[in-house]
Amino acid sequence: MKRAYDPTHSPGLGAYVALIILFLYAPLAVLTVYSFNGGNLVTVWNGASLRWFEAVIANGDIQDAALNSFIIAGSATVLATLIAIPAALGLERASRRLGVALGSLFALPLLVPEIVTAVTTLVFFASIKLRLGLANLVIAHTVFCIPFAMMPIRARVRGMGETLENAARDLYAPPLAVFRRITLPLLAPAIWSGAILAFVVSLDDFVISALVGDAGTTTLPVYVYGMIRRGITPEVNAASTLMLVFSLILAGLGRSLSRRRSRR
Amino acid sequence: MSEPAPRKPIIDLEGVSLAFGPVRAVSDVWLTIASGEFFTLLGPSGCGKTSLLRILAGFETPTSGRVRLEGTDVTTTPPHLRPVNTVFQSYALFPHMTVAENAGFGLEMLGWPKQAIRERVAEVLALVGLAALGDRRPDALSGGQQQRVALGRALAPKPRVLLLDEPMSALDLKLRKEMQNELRRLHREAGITFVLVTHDQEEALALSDRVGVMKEGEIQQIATPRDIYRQPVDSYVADFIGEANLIPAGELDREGGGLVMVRPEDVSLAGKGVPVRIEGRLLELRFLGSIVEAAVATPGGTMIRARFPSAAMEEVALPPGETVGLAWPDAAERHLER
Amino acid sequence: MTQRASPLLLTSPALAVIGVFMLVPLGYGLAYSLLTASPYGGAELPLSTEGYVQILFQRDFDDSLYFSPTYLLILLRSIVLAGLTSVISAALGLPVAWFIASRPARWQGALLFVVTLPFWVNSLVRTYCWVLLLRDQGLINMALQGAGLTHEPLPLMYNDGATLVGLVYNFLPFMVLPIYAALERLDPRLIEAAHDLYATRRRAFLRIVLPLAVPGMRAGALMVFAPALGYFLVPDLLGGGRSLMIGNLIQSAFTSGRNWPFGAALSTLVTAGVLVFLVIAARRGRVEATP
Repeated sequence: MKRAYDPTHSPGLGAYVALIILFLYAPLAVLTVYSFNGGNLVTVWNGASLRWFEAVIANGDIQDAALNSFIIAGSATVLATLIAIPAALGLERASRRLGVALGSLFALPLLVPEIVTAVTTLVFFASIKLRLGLANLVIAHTVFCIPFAMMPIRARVRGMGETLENAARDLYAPPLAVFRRITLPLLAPAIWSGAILAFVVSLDDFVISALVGDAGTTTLPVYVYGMIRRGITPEVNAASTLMLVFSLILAGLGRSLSRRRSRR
Repeated sequence: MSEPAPRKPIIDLEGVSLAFGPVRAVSDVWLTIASGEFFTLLGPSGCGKTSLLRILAGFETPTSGRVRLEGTDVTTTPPHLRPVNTVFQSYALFPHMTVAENAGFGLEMLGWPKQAIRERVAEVLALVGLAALGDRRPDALSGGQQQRVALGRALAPKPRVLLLDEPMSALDLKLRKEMQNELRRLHREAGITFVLVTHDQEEALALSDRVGVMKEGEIQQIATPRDIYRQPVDSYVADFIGEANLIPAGELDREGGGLVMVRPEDVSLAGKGVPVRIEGRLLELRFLGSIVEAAVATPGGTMIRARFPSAAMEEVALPPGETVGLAWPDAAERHLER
Repeated sequence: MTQRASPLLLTSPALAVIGVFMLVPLGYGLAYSLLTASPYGGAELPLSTEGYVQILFQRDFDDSLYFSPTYLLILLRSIVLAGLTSVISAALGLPVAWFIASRPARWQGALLFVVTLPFWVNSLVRTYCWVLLLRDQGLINMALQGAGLTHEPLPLMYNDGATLVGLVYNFLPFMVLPIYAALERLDPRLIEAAHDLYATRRRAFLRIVLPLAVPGMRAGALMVFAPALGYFLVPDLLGGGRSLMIGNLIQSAFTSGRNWPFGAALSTLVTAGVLVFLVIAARRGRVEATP
């Protein structure tokens, strides 16, 4: 049967994309399968088992590290989001020049290589002798979470324009009521997307946490990195798989939020 | 230039200008609008009519000049303190609120009690023919229905003036005609002042008590639709409103230069005994159903269009290329300086 | 306009936080690069350019300088690997982006989600997966030996190739997204028009799709090159000592090396390089966007 004319059809493209998707997912799948290995050796399959997951969950150090990660990510997300909301509104209302200048400044944490952010923050904290334990890391994480929290909000503010806010003002809403009744509800999905993004990025961080943190502030990636350095064990696989699953849950949450937004 | 306003003035613009950097969007506008009037600002896009409307609503503060509402200076009064409501071009319905919540928003902001809001919203939705749709979200409505919600929402707080910013530009032709009738009815029933902004001259002529024609931030002429059409002040207005033949006065052997304007429907092919105003070469005769349109090129190079009933065609069955005489009554022509 | 909070007021919290905890630390980094190393980490006066000198030279026993290319090679490797990562990601990502952009609208969201999902996974985990694949007892070597293709494990890890694979794996989604954003706006009728004007499929792709994808690839390169340049985890876990990149060098200067001025000098150099690269790229992008 001859194909109907389709301007965008390219032979083999579908197969190529399938290969790329395999490239993206196969390593994650391999890790997941390995983590169900019941044996003591990574490379020798000894039947499927949840034994190493149990070991990870019972590991007090991992529990502490995970708790640290969540405290830091949670605090940094809340702070970054609270800072990003007014900043996104301000950037879109600013004159072109000011908007570009401030926009580039706020993008700095994205542009400067992570390792540089890590060591300069380390140098800065050491110089001013700031030793607040977890709070040091919360500050460092808040900084690089701000641009991520801000991105979706800015896009939404831009897409919204000023008309709806003008309509509310025209209907006798004073500035605070405009913000509370119109701006905030319309931004809410974007605020949530930004917050999830910030949370994921904070949990993801290794370099900054490793350099800026100290013995009492070990985060989950820093702890797991240490495990990997000591040796590849089934427990590392199980811990990694748990982190993988948690990331996927967050990704799903983010997607369902963005879908709800696009239905509006 | 402006006609005396027929009733008590409600809006006074006194030398209002608005500049965005070097761009002057509105330039020294003096305008008085009477209470209860249906006033239209007409002009092509970019002529400053929307900026002028935004000044009335309070979204823009004029660079110079004053805005008075019922005699009170409101030049710098923010929009939420002006008894003026707007129907926005894209309707600007709040997507996260129902139709009834949209319609009641202004009343809520004015601090009306809940029960009173409910009653007024029901009244307004009935007025715009949406009584059954109060619980819908705006995105579940058709374009015409959204337009009605926007109207109802703006009318609900009983504003002194209703501003309409190209409210019908997003509707198709049939709906637009329907909404025009609707607007006239609402204007009659609400008994308040309407200020409409549009680029559609037919809409302006059909709806308004008076029309202000704008060009490059300035009002060129303010008059009733009839006067705007019959007695335009210059070639810009003549050309923008309807179709106009603009013939250099020299071609008609008139003194003093300038242009002579004649509407195509007033021009006829001169028969026997009718004095010929100007002669030209017939380029084409186009049959348009009830009327016939003739295009005639004068020796001076001006193209003149004439429109007459199809019935008259039998008498003038001429081939293109023929030289013909054109005629029109004295009362139909108007001398324009520019 | 009169009643609204000013842009400066609204942005002031962000300005304060990023100013104090990002801009000021970068200044401290610059300052430290011009100090003398303390023996136990940290830095002290007097002012010195030693940190920068050490990038290119080493000191002999008699304190004379001699040129040593070790660090220069690491710098060059970082630039080459980050550049290759951008180019390979663009080449791999372009067909993917085009495939997604040319699907019906209802499929596009789902496909994008599938392609970007791995980006949500913790980067340590993503990199670690490749350790499981590439190491001597890794899946690939086990499979090759099991199939009798080799008897000795192939040295797949601890080389530039492993680092490059890891970098591409980490950054590919960053390239697909902007190219997709550029191609999404492409009207399929443009391709119909090209076919109508006798273009073959290949030529329609080269003359219509590719030029329209270039701005997306440029945006993608911005998002890939700069972070890849200073990336730490991939060269650390997959490259090992034989494929060090500048991120590893900086990290070790601040930890085991206890040479903060040297690390700060490298940081300053990289930051300056990246910012200059970004400014030039943004300039060029703007010039080409305004015909």
